[in-house]
Amino acid sequence: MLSCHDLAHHHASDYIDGQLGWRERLRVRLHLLICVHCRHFVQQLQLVRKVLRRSDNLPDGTDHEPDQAALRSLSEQLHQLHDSQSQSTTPPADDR
Amino acid sequence: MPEKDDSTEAILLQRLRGGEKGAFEQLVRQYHAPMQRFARAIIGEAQAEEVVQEAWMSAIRHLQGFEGRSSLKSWLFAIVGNEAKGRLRKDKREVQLDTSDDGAMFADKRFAADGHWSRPPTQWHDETPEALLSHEDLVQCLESHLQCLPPQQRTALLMRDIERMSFDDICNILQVSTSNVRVLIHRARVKIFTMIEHFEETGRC
Repeated sequence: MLSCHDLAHHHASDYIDGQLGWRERLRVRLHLLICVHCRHFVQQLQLVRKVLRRSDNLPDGTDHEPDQAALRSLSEQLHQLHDSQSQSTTPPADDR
Repeated sequence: MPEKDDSTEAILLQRLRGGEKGAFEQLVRQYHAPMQRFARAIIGEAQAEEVVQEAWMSAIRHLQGFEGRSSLKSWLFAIVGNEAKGRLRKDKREVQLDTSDDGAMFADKRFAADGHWSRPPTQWHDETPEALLSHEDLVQCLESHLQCLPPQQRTALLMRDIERMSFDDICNILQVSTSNVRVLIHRARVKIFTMIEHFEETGRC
């Protein structure tokens, strides 16, 4: 029988990420049926994941919004690099 | 990465290979910020900009060789990852896998010797991500906690939960096993869980 410690410490994230084999998954589900604390924990861990998924501007905590002019100049540089390369080689066929 | 639409990406690639100016703009607009975020997570603020510049050049140079076996984004991230790691090696700052079990603290504090919860999770007032993120203090607290995660945990969490990359892609870029990545992500999530729980209980970071 899976303990709360095993579930919370070793299996909870794998469970919500769908990374467990069917046997382990079944053990987790059986435990969750009878254990309200672990049910809370798994729900809250899922909520943590959702919060992180919504927070894609957060991770460095600083304001790094690149300015539009810099982005344009970068894309022009890359465009030129690409151009100069294709002039020095024959245009390759689509490799896909 | 399943959320990317393959056909849009194929079209973008075709336009890039055709040398269409607008396609380069679109590429940079779409991926520059995530690439920078990713580089910062691996190598830190000071060198991230340079790493991303190098990665862009390398990506354009190898554009014809990109076969579309992975998504464009994971391909770009892999290039950023390689650039960053090359630089760390040069500076003799290897990417170290943090093997200390810093998750043990959570285990010790919250579980009894028989494996049951000694301090079970409490009910939270906020039950949706929107409700949680509506607290400005909590958002700030989350930012600072993400900053304080050990670098590998932060990178793995960023790749999985924020950038929503597949485990395969994460393992390829970080060059660590799936089980290591899973442990890193779980430890990081538990830390964020503990932080939110504390906030829900006390209203403070």
